[in-house]
Amino acid sequence: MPDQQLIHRIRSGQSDKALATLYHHFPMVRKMIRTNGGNAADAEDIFQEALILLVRNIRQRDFTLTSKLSTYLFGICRLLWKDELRRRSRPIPHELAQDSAGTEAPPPHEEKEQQARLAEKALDELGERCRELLLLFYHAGMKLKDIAARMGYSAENTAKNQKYKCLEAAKIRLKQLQQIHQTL
Amino acid sequence: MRKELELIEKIEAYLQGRLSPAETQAFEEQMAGDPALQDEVELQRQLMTGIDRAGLREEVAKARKRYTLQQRLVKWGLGGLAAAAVTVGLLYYLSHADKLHSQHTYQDATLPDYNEAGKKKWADADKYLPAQSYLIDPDRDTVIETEKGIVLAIPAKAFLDEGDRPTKGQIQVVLKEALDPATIMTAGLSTRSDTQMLSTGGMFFLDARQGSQILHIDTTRPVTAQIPAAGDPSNMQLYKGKRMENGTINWVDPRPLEHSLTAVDIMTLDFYPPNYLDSLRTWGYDSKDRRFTDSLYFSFAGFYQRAVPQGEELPQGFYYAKTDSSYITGSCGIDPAKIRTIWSSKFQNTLLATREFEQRLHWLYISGRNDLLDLYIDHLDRNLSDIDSMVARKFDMDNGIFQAFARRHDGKVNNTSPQIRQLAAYYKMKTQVYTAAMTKAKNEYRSRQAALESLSNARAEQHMVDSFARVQQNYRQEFKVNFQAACRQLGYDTAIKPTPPATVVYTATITTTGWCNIDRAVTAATLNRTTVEYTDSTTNKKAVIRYLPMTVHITDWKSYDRLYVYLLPDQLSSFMRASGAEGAYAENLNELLRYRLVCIGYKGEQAWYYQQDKLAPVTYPDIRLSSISTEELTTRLALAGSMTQTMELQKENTFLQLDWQDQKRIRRNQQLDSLEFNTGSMLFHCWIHFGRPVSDTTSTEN
Repeated sequence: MPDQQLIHRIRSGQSDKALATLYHHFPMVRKMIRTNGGNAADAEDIFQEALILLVRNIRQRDFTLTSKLSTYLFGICRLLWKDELRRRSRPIPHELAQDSAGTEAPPPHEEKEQQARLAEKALDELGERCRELLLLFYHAGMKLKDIAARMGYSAENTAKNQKYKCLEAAKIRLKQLQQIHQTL
Repeated sequence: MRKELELIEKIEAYLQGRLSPAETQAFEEQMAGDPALQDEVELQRQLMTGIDRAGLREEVAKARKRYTLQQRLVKWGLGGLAAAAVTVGLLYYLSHADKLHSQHTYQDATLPDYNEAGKKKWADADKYLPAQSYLIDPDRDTVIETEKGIVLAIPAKAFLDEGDRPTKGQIQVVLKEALDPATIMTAGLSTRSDTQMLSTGGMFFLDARQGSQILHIDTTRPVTAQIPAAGDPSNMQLYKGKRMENGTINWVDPRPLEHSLTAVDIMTLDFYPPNYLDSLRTWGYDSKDRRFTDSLYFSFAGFYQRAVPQGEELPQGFYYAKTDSSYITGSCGIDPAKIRTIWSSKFQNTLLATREFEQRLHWLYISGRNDLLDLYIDHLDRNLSDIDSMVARKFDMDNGIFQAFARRHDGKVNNTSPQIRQLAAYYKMKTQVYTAAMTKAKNEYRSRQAALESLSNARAEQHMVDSFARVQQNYRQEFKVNFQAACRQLGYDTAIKPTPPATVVYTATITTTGWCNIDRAVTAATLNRTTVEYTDSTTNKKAVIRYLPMTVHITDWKSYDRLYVYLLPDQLSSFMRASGAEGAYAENLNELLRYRLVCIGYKGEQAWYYQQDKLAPVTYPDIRLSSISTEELTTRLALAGSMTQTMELQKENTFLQLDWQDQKRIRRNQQLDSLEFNTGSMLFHCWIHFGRPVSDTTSTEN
């Protein structure tokens, strides 16, 4: 699938097909990580993170692709793996340390990464139904009416109230997690 | 709505850019003067990011699943199926259904108004067994596994609505299962077909709904179910359940089970002789090193034979095949060279590459007869049960083993049914995860013990003993965690149940929803283990088996909300629920059987119990039940019935005991000579007496 079509799919909410195609780049990434001190599980995790970042970047309004999408994706993987090695206090192999010119992937901001991880954690710790509700509304963009039918709420208004309650609970939890994180 | 929630609503509108320019400006001015508000907005913004990422993570996980599945399909050489499966989108069972608030669906313990046949009739078992609910996409093939290990392959568009049309949108598939004595008896289920006694291999219930619509199965797209088999799988059939007025279920309309063999990757089977790997472990060798175990075993090729010139006395302990050459060849064990040939990819997708054949091979080793093994190898196009019969006829020392195999009526490898292939794929995946989790659990267990063993003083010894006990207790819980981790790492859904993959299963093709039961009719022949009629040994006349009446009166029967009286015949997997009224229960006892009486009562949630062995055909006037905890009831019932579902628990415990003793015995420097000697004498009982291989004899035949 040509790059422009992939980008279009990602932007227009048909990301599952695009992601399935992008997954064919996994062997290359796995090889890179294995030859640079990682194992198969590391490769899976890094690739997953990279795809998430890729999709979010593409959906930014000011995103422009200046190289091949696979190169871009690979660049993100290298950067993520470098960061991870640093985090584990492991030496960085020579070929990785060289700045890879030609991949213009913006380095993920350390701070923002951390925040995002905590936010996901707060979300994970909500009940199943809260999490599902928030995901359906904000991520899948489902209408409240449909969400109410699917999740068994008696009225659209109930779903709306529930949504705000869940958000409130998530915010409280996130604040707690941030405080814990700061004291560490 | 509360003030706090209204604020969240406002922040949401702000972050989504839905406020008018004037409102936006006002809000931003408000923020400028209020740091607490800034924090709230920032927090919510981060949460939005988190939600987006969480959603993306799920999408990426789905993509990964499709990718790994595609890779695996291609690897297994299922070729054309790979393309079809990917476009059809083979989906393993994902998450539990949402609770739909409506009288039209199942929800925990409540039942819809109408049953699967559209009638307002429910049996006790329907009411007292919990429903497992699964939401599936009808446009895809799906594989579901229940809590206790029933695996179902549901083809796409298998369910039709009341107008015989395939449905659009998700379908709720409901399953209930009763595979062990405790569940069967506390649900009031009975193993009876009219008056005929049945011996059961397990019962389950299947239903499918979409909203208020009751769905039925398209008979051209049946559901294939595999139920783990605990006992003897011969002569089993699939019965349908008919609800009776008194809350019990009668079993009718027996149909044969599916007897095709499940082809698996032949290299994952164990074709070694029965004690080979265990012995290696006991002697301190690494039984997991495939190259080592292979080379050691195959080095004995040719050692199994002894060539004796015609006319000479034949040494004892060998089996001699008829031959007209000048030498007679005797063998005293299966030829490793033959095993080496068949244990290869050349025999993939043949009847040799099945769990069913693996079971036969175990017994072939014990027989030591190469000619019997040849029967399987030379007749790859026949039904497995036909070959079993051939072996049974040829093997004069059979002891009924191969006859029992033949009675299972196993057929051929089914390469055309996508459902059978999906079930095989699921079994393979399960085995992979289970083995990975077991290995991890063993390694953790070992390292913890190594740590404990390094403590050397007396006080530490007591600590060691306590710690070992605690470690064993935690084993179950930790295994579950390891199982989920293994799922994740291998790219599978972590919602898969951590039950051991079943090696022997009943395979049934299901064409109607409702209750199903896998049973064998208990006939007089079964009871006294002879082939046809019952002949009275004293009179030598053909006798009719007598049934003698027995009655039981339960004292205080009125105080119980539910009362079940069961008669359990010894050594049969039968649960005969006695019918009665006003506390008096009557049943006719077969005079050839010994029965146990089990009474279960419920006062609300509290259980009551009574048990009596060696029941006589008399009237028992005053049976009193005693109160009992639910845990104890389950244990008692498990012991009272005679199905072998507790086998799994035993398997787990044995693993723990064996393994840590093994570790103690690992020695690095074992003499190679003694290894060969030990292995040879274990594998071939003639080795000790006739230690020279065939090549040493002056034989020109070979």
